[in-house]
Amino acid sequence: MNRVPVRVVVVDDHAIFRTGLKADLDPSAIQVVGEAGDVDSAVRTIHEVRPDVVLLDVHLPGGRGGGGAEVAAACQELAPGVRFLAISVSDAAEDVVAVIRAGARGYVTKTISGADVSDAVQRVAGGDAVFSPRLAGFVLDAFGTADVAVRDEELDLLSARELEVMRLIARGYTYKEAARELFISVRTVETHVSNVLRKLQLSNRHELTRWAGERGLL
Amino acid sequence: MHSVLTRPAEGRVVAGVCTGLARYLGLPTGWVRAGVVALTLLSGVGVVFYAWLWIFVPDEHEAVLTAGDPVRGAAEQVREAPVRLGGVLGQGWQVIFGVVLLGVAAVLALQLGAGIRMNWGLIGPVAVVLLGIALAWLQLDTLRDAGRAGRTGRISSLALGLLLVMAGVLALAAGFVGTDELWLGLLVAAVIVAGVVLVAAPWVLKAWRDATAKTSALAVQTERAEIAAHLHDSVLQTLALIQKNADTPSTVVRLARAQERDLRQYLYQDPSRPTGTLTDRLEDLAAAIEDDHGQPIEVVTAGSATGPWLDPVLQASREAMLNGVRHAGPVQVYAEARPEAVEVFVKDRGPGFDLSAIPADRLGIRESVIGRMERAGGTARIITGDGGTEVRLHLPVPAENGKNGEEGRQG
Repeated sequence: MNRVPVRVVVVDDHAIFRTGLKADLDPSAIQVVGEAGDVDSAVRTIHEVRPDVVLLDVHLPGGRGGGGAEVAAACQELAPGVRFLAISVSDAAEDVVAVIRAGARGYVTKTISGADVSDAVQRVAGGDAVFSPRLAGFVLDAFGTADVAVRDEELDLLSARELEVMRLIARGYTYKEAARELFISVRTVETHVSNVLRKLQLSNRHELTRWAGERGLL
Repeated sequence: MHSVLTRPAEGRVVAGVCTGLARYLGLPTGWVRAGVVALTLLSGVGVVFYAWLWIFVPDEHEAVLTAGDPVRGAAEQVREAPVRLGGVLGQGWQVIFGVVLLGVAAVLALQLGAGIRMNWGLIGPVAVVLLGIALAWLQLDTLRDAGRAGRTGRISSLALGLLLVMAGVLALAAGFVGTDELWLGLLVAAVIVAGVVLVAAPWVLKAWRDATAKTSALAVQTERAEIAAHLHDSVLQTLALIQKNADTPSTVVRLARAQERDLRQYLYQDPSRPTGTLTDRLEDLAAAIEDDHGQPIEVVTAGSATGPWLDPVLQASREAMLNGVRHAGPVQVYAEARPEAVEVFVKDRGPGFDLSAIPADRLGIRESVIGRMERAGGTARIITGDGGTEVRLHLPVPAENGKNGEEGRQG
């Protein structure tokens, strides 16, 4: 994966932050091929350069006021070639979950270190999901923390294993540490996380709907 | 005694005239009311007097708005609106209805008791006109306050008042002139009114728009003032402190972190969320430790729980967080409230330590974490190694709290 650098577009309305983020990204693994400062130019740039990963700020001016979620939604036809990683200063559940439900493959906060964000970008480029402890916390809060399902096919329920993985991520474990803790492979942890992401994006579980409704997400 | 005669929002029955007058004169409100009623019963002058004051004495809020400090005035207005609406619409009606009934009773008494022949053709229309006027004016007082909610009700009351006045005036006129002339007069009046409306409509519309714009500008101004006050108290102060401490990075980081937390709370915290929950208390503890030690602590929670039974687990968490920031650096906290138990995990990425090597006189871990949890009926486990240290706290929900815990968890 390291031989071909991941092509990245940085979308953030603060030029200073874009510059800082670009400088932070590992140049041997990541190539910044474009940047944008608002919804419309972001959608245009992404369609033009077709990057592997878009680092997408949650709050953006322009468009219909939908911010990062609107960009992700407008570029849906480019998936799975173009993947989105949300990056924000906001910890508010509505911001995070809106952009995830619009199709982002993960969410990190802006205070993340350069090495971590580079790692997250490569992870997303490889098709994995990136869950920060806070995002895992939102998931646990929304889906409920009780062991609910053995049946894995149900969209609306997390399996016991997925629940365990989410809990470990919320506790600050890396995927590798979580794998060791549960005696499973890192690949399996990644699969569980991807499944949780899919459920978060597709689930109509009434509790998730209610939870989202209470926070004004729907 | 008040320096300005106004009609106060609180304590009014119809339009606040008596209350305002009593406040202005420094007399008990009851006396003033009794006086007005007495004047009304004696000669009817009381009603005229009341109406006159109603027209010319400004509402308390109008007075505040014109007297300066518009921002404060607007804020109060917004806050008090719901209280007033209910009071005015409810009580004002009862009083007016009562006055009408009393008037009818008095006239009937005069006719039957004293045998005086009443000119019903005159009294009826006049009463209807007065009723219509009262109805319309009562709406004027509430017009400014309410939002869209009560608007249709007010407009229909206003229309009803206008209709009553017109009907009364027509009936009155019909007493003086013949039917044919009345129709002609009506036609002429309609033409004149149409002309006046045609000329005046743009002016009225413009005035209305200006007033609306002014109101919304005022609301924006209020909000701006509030945000500016908050930014001044917090962000500007912190920036000043950061400039002063520019040569000590640890202080700068601590100040920035504290400010970030404060701003985050201001921007994102849901004000309707109940306070005193596990999340709140953990975040408060983490914030205090962050301030003292300058190391970030991220708190993630799922579910919610409240109650004094959480105290031991919170105190143990605090001790674990303190240990983390002192010996290891940044700390990650995850708390989960489940129906049967509360669990808190405090993780750091420090070098770890040897539990058995802690001297017996060091009480931190042994007493404040493990001992405390065991006394409360819970458990504490400490896992430490190369990847850092994790303190795992587990506290079962006490039996009598079981139900509450489950309810609380739903949030």
